[in-house]
Amino acid sequence: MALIKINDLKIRTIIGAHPWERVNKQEIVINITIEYDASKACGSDSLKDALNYEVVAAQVIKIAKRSRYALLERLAGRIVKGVMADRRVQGAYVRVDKPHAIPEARCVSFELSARRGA
Amino acid sequence: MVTGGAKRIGREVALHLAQQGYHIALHYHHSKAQAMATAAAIYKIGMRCELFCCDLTDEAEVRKLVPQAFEAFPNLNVLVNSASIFMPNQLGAEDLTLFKTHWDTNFKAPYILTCEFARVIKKGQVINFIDANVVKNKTFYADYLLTKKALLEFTKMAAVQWGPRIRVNGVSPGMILAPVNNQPDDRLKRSRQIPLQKIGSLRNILQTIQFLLENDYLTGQIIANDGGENLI
Repeated sequence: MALIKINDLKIRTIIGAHPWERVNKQEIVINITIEYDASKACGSDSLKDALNYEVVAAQVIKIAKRSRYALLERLAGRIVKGVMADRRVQGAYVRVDKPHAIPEARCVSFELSARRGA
Repeated sequence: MVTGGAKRIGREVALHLAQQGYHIALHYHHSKAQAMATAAAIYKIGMRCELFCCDLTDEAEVRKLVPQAFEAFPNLNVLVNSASIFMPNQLGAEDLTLFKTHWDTNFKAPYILTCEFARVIKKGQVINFIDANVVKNKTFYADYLLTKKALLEFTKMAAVQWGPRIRVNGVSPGMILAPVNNQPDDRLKRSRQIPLQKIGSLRNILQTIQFLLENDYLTGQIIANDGGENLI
């Protein structure tokens, strides 16, 4: 199994339950780890055999930018579901950081993972 | 958009603009808690406030700032460059780290932001925070003063370059806020030596900002809001 990691994807979106969070977009930082069988791509050197991380990132950006969710849990769940929609993905791990959740903290993070067949 | 809007003069400008009916794109770097408090205060006024964290010494980050703010606020029409660092040093230091930090934060960032602003905004105005001491040649804050002198000249050149679409003006505060960096607060003593013999207030700065915002026949001007300090 191989791992693809998309690190520190920064997106501005509506997220949060407070009234001010419903009108003001804020930055969230998304980290994704995707597990898939890359043996074919390792041998062929062909993009069609690989999981295209640009496509995955674009999909995650689209999901996050459209977010109007109150909870990080819901957003992370939606991202995991989106990533797992590709049948080649065997497992996905998503962490969503919310830097403006607590003033005194660097950020608050929510982590969620899923595994095919689990 | 207000840079350095989390605290001190930048915060007051952001709150004032919000009271005038502006939504605020508020830039900060280290002062997250203060930025969030300012954003909460703006929300209470009834306006939107989105926070933009950016290291103004990072050119790539700075270049993204105005387009990001424009995306959040498509009616963006005012840029206030108030973020600034202020560290004592004299000319001739072998280590240019402080020079570079001053240059990047106090000049290069407002330069890039103004260029980006002029690129994406159809009609608007820029207000740069300069310093009453730019007309002097004191060397206790040499790098700081050099960058503010450069910003003063840039303000005039930018007014020429981008008129009539963009008005570019500056405010040069004098003795308004207590000094930072644990410097002794000798404003009262020093204020006796300037023509108006008193310390200025934030209200004075906000009055100037309001004047610059409203007077549409004014560009390339730097208003010294300093009780006459620059004259002596």
